[in-house]
Amino acid sequence: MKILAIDTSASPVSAALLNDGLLAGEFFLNTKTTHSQTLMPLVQSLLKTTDTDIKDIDVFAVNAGPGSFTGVRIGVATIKGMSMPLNKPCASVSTLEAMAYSMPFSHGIVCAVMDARCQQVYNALFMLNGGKPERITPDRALKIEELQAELEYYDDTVYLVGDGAELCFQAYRETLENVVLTPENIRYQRAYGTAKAAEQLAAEDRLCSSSALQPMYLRLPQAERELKARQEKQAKQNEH
Amino acid sequence: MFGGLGAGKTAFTRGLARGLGVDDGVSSPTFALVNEYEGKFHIYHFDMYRINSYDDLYSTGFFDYMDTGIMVIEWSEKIEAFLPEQRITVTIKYISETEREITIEGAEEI
Repeated sequence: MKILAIDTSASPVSAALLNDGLLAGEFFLNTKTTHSQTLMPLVQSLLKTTDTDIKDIDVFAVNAGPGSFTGVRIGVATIKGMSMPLNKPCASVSTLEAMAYSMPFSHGIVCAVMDARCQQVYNALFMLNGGKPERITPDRALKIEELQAELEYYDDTVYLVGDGAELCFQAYRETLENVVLTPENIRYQRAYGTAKAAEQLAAEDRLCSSSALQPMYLRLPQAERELKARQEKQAKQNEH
Repeated sequence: MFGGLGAGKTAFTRGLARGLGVDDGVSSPTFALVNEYEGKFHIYHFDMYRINSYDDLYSTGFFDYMDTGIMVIEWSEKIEAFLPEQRITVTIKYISETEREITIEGAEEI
């Protein structure tokens, strides 16, 4: 089975080709360039250099969120566009889960965090035990300190990954001794993890059609409340 | 940027953009939500008048634009809770037809 996976959910962009469970090729860029300009040349070079015809791809996988609004849309639209004419299934992968699948070598807890701004992060926790990552929490948006309170319950090593990892590490390092900031080369979401997560989805018969593929956005409930409170205050001031 | 209808927020932005090498094309992004200009820096000109929820704001790509250039935000009143701490606040107050009081805060380091 050949899986073509892409990630454009945040600042980096990557594409990977998984051939019967093994990584045949992967391209990764983190240059702050626009994904809409870099993604297709990356995919094209990947297919060309691995001598792969796009018609031979069995599953098209994408990190469908959480992530940047524009980035997620670029990724989902691209995968839809490639899979639809070939009538091939898609794998809608959680960006956070893809991160956990990128580091299956360790034992402990993967705490995937993406900076959602306003002192909040998109997060999910996974347990690593040598096999596939086991999900502990759903994908959610929460305050950095709420996550800290939750992490206090764990004695295992907690590996911080994602573009919010450094932010959280700085906030937690004083109080949480078991928190580890992963090195930069394995910290960010990569299409390899997306492909491995897609492989699992395929095994569980949880793929979807190109038309059913949708961006997965998470709301920031706290931020929403703050905005509403401000707007109400503003409205009251205007009345006077 | 704070200031009600007709305060001169777009006029102010036009001047700011001119100072950064953008001579024309600056208009109110009330309809488009965001205009992009290329000058000495990337300039993103937002109008938050029609933004009423976090989802509205998120779907303008607001958070994607952060740290990639200069963001000029009209109607900041609408999204005050989401403004970054490091920012310059410009408040324009209408005095008379030809007079405005402009207060600039947070620009000490620049």
